[in-house]
Amino acid sequence: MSPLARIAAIARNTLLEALRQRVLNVILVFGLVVLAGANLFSEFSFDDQFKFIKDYCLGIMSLIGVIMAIVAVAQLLPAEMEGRTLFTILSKPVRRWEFLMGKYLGVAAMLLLTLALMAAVSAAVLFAQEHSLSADAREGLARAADPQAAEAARASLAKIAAAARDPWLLAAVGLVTVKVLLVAAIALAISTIATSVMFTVVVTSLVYIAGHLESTARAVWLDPTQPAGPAAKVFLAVVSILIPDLGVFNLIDEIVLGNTVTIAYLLKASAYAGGCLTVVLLVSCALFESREL
Amino acid sequence: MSSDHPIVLRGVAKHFPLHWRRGRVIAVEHLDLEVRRGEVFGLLGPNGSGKSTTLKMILGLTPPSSGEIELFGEPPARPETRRRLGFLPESPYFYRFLTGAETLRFFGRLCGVPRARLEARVEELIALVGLGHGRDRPLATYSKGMLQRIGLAQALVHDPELVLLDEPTAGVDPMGSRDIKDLILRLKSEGKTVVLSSHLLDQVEEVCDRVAILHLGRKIVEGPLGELLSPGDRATLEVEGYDERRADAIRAALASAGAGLRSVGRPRLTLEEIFVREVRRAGGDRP
Amino acid sequence: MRTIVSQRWRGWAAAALLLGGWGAIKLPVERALGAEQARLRYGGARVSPEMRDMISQGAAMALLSGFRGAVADYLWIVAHTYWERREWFRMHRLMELVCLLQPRSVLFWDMSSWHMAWNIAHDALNDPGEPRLSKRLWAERKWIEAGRRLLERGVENIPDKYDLWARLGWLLDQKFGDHAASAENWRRAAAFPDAPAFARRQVGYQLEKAGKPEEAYRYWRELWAAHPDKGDTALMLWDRIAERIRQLEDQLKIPAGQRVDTSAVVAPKP
Repeated sequence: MSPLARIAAIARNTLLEALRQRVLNVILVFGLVVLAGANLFSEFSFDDQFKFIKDYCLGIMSLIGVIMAIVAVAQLLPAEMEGRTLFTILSKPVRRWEFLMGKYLGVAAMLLLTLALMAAVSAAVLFAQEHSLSADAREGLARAADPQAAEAARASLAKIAAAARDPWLLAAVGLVTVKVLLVAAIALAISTIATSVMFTVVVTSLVYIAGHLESTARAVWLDPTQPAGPAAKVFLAVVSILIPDLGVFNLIDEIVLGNTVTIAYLLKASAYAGGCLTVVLLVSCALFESREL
Repeated sequence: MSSDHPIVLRGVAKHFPLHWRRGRVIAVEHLDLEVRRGEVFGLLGPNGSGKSTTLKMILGLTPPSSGEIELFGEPPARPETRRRLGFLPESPYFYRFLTGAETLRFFGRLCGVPRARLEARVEELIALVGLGHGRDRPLATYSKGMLQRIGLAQALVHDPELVLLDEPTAGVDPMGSRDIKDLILRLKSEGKTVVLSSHLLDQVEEVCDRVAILHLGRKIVEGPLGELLSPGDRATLEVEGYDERRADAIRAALASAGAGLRSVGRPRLTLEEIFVREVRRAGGDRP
Repeated sequence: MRTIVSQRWRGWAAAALLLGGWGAIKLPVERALGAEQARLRYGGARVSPEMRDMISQGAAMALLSGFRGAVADYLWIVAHTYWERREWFRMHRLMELVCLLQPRSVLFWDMSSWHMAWNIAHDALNDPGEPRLSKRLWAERKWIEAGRRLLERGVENIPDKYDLWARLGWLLDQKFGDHAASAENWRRAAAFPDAPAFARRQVGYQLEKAGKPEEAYRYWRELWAAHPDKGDTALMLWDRIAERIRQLEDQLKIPAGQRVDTSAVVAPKP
């Protein structure tokens, strides 16, 4: 039997555990929060409403996704070790890296499922908003007395449809997903050397924040005109080299604002994420291989 | 080379370094062991004597600090080698959210049991360990004895040649304990090799062919159970017409041989007695 | 002899090698991506120390972690609570901050300047707490200026969409009476293919209002010539444009032979 089949069995089991325990509750809470929040915006004009709903949904998806990734991954290994299920599994013909990758893929599947459901809830809220707003606009079109008013009504109908069904929103969801998967891998790498759940959560959160500052650190490090002492330069160099640049995935704002984002950029950012993910997972395996259980 | 023995340990030691250079903990020291094909081997000793660490090293879960371990003549870290053994961990905890059948299916997949065989195998094992009532219940609702049974079943899911059982009877009621012992004997009758560890020495007396007793990481006794428990220089006489007041006379009569001797039996020491004796001989607890 | 220490070292060494090697590869990749992102974002907001003081620490964290849009939206809503409490200065400050947070948002520049130049200005003019008209007029002017400043910064940040150019043209026309400048801004707006039809007409109207009949006539002529097919009269109101052209031709005394033939266009029946 191939390693793939064993990894798949472990991943499936991890996903099953998540499903039987907590994930659906998170989705439920997300749905309620979004629905409640969407009504908060109803007093604004439709331009505002769509922007707010999009910012809000993507922001919450990103937040919940990152928190879930960190918390779920941080618990993986300690739970297996305390429950000694780790020993049972590793006494089977399973390599340590297979176990670790199975666990990661299981959590990744759970995160993908969660994000997909959150995206579906968001889309439903957007469509509901489109439905009610375009009903108003259509009424306006029916009542339009002159061509000018009709043009305005038609334009606002088109604008509503364009705002609600912007295909680039999928790219925004994709960027959130990529970021969440990368954060989960970083948490996994840290958990292989951690001695407690708290350690993993705290260190991963710090890395997450540092990941958004990495571009600044890199700029200061590589810019010879910047005044920084040798110690500071070394620190900045270490941060720049070790930590992925999470700012690369922060194009959500631009997408919501309808600004130009290119497919080429998205592809490059995905390739960058893939590189980071591969390296971080390899590092996790190397560290886990040498860990005393 | 000695691949005829499923397990061979030569001069194995395991030290755990303490943090901040506070020295190290010696878990196992200079351990030689050979487990022979088809026998039931008992690895005995009180808690903290190094049994579990030894099993972990045999399973390749932790590398020895020094010495060599062979599992079917191979280093134990190889997953292919582990396909030939089954392991029941001490007080096993499995995924609480899985049912009994799901647990066995999961471990069956990990062990590479072919998909076509898996379902039949799961049913077989559930019947074997007597868990029909727990088949579709999540493990969270299992009693300790039921967990032990599902643990045994998962150790056997891929029909291994060698079965390692860490404290198989700990915390199990007498009936369950009886069943487990019967199962061990059945495995032996099927030609499998069984290694079990226990700190309750007398619980395993009736199933083990050979035992090794560990104390503070050192092996203090090893040998066939029969020889250990029945020293050759003693006998028990069952006397007819025994009278307390004439005990001396009987003794005298026995000395001159004759008076109504019905049977001569072998006295049984308990493993506990042997353990205490050997610890004393070794000079008591090391500092 | 294998020892724990050497085992442990091997994993760490592999990890360090991987991370270091990747670090060397990733740096130029990150720089390229960063440059491209800046290009896409155009004038992406830099967090200035002043701005960091203005927002709470939690908000700053969210800002850095990629929730800029959500933070801006939140502050925008807060700004509207100041509107309800008639705290104009706070509202102005916060709206400026929101614009800084998302300088590529048409909505924020547009609405902020509208609030300043129309709503607050109107309110200041009719302030019952200030009896002196001169003071109230001065206040109105000040708020209109604030609205204009916002729009001017807005077009600097979003020169690639018609919206803010059109807004600025509108503001200069309505609140400043600077029709020449207004025409210039409408012209920028009208140059976008997705600009509404009235933006094209506004250029001509503003030029006429600015007292530049020759320029206005030239503009209408060019507009007329650029659209040989006048089928979209309902939208472009070619009949009105024809009227403007005829009137300007009379005013400028254009010889009959050089006049534009506007006979084909008739006003649509309402």
